[in-house]
Amino acid sequence: MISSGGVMRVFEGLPASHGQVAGTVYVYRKRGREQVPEYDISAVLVSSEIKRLQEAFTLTRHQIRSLSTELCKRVSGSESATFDGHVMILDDPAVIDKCQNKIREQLCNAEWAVHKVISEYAAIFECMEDEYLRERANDIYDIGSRLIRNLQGVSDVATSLVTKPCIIVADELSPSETISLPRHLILGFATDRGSLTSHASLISRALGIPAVVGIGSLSEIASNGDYLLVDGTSGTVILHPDQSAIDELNKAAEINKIFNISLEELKNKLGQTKDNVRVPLIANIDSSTAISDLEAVGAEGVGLYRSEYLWLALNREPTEDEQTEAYTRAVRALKADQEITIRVLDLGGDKIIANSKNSREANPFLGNRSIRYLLRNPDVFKRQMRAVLRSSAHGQLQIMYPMITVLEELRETNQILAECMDELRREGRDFNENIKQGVMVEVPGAALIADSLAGESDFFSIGTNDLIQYTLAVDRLNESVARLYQPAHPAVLQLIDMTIKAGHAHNSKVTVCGEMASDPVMAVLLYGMGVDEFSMTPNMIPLVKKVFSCVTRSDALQLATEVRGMYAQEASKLYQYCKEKLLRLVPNVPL
Amino acid sequence: MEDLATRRAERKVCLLNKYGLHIRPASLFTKVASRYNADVYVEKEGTVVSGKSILALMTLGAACGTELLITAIGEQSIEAIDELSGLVSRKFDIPEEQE
Repeated sequence: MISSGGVMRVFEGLPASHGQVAGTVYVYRKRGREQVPEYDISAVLVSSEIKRLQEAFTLTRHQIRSLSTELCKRVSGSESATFDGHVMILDDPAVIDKCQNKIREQLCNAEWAVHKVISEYAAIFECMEDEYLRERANDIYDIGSRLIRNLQGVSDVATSLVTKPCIIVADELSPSETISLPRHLILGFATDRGSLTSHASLISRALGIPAVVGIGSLSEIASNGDYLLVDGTSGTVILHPDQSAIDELNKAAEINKIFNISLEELKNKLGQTKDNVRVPLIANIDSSTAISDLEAVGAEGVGLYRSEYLWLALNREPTEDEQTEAYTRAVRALKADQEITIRVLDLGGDKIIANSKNSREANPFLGNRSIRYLLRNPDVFKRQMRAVLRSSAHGQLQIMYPMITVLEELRETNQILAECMDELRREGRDFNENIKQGVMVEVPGAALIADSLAGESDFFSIGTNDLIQYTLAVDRLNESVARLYQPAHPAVLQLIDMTIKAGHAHNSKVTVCGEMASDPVMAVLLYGMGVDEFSMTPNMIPLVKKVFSCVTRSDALQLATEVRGMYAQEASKLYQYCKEKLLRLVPNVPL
Repeated sequence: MEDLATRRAERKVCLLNKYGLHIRPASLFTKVASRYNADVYVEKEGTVVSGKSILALMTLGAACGTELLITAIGEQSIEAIDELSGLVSRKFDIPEEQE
């Protein structure tokens, strides 16, 4: 039913949690915080007031613990850690001590004491520069208002007043409000304030409830029973929608629903084409990635382990043992048939170590970085190489050299590898004698001499981000030239073609580990061009897997043939052509 | 002989997790710090707070990229520092904040 009397109004907010929903409004709270009672107490009542305060702390602790248990049951757990934090704040002696002191010194009631202490803390957070940290004032307010409600003996209003399915409209929702509302009756959330990183947003995502936050002034305009559309994917909220707006929302909802179900179904399947040809989809990770995340997205191994994050995390060179421990931990966490490719230190350019003695370079991206740095610092290189080798005893591990530009670099590197192997043999340490070593092709010069590089290495991995940057001479972070950064530029595609052909001529596997691997449009084209595996940021794996499952091998081969015939055209046209073709093969894919 | 109670250890660390020292990392830090028989302090740009108080840590307002100095004093100061700096460098093992 469409609510009477209203003129359609469109609001734009932040898309906090995906999905579309239509329903009637329940205004949970309008702008402005509830009043806190304030009164003086006589000195004789101080101890009973403090006792009341302590009881409220205990009750609040219980409530938050049970909310946390409740949330754990509904979602996979990590979000409930927020509530652990809330309990710890309640347990923090500083908080309760301050409240007690206020009661003692100012002879005020417990509610007011809590209000004052909480406001003092919240004020500190609200002054912070960092947006996410500033948002944490809400955690404090959330605890404070719960304490005050418990002191007043007011129970959770939310659970009792929401009795039929509705969209919750509020000025802002605290995490505990978001979770304590009756899930089965909540269709969506639309709030005046809040950001994408506020806990209420995180929790609505975890619960899978569409939400738009930061709308501005909806809670003052909407009334109970009004009809409202919430599109948590686009961030649009429509009050009193007309029929065409409702139809459009329903269509978007249907498309999203089908697509998400299909992603979930693919999770435990291996990557393959529609006609069952395997396409391994592997992950780009660093030392901090949790391997359980890889399982969650169905990654089939690790195509790029960025070892430099160990340096960045420690702000110094990690010792050989520290490195061995980190690489071994990663390789052991994978299944026995899964491979991991460790890329040796790729620092320089954008990731300079703070305390390195490198003098400032005029052109860091053309300077002493990654393999160039390592070859000039053979002690550092050897320590890393020995650590990689030692870890190779524990699983399927291979080593990859970044930024190789001239053949001598590959030869010198392999010489160092051989020396390290000799040392380890003499020391009687275990390692894989047949460890594979590969070249990361990310400089046009390397692609052009791919044939000779393939002759002295075991595999190629194409780092498309740098390859595009170096081929087109574009820093994509520089806004004034960023539009020239075109993955489908014929020059880039031809260099990739050369690399694949050279690799395959020497029976070397060719992987792509740049962002092109995670763009479904480019991934299908690259597969047609001959790329064997795709390594990408873990959360993109489900989407790419889905796309491959809708495309046959011959579809991809044909696309590649067609594109090779279009090299005389503009790069943007090439990309558009691939995209349109893919959309015909994979309907409803959100590209 | 060294007096165990005054054994002191300190280490500089850099906050690497995406959202800085907010409630979850602060709670994890506090939990670990509380397990050790040592006083733990965290310093940011001259402000020193107890590493065992979650709210105190949160009030530092330490965003991603902030340098912190962790100091521990007591019998288990070295062990505490090792585990705490490891926790910080692993971005508190919080999956959503690894990027």
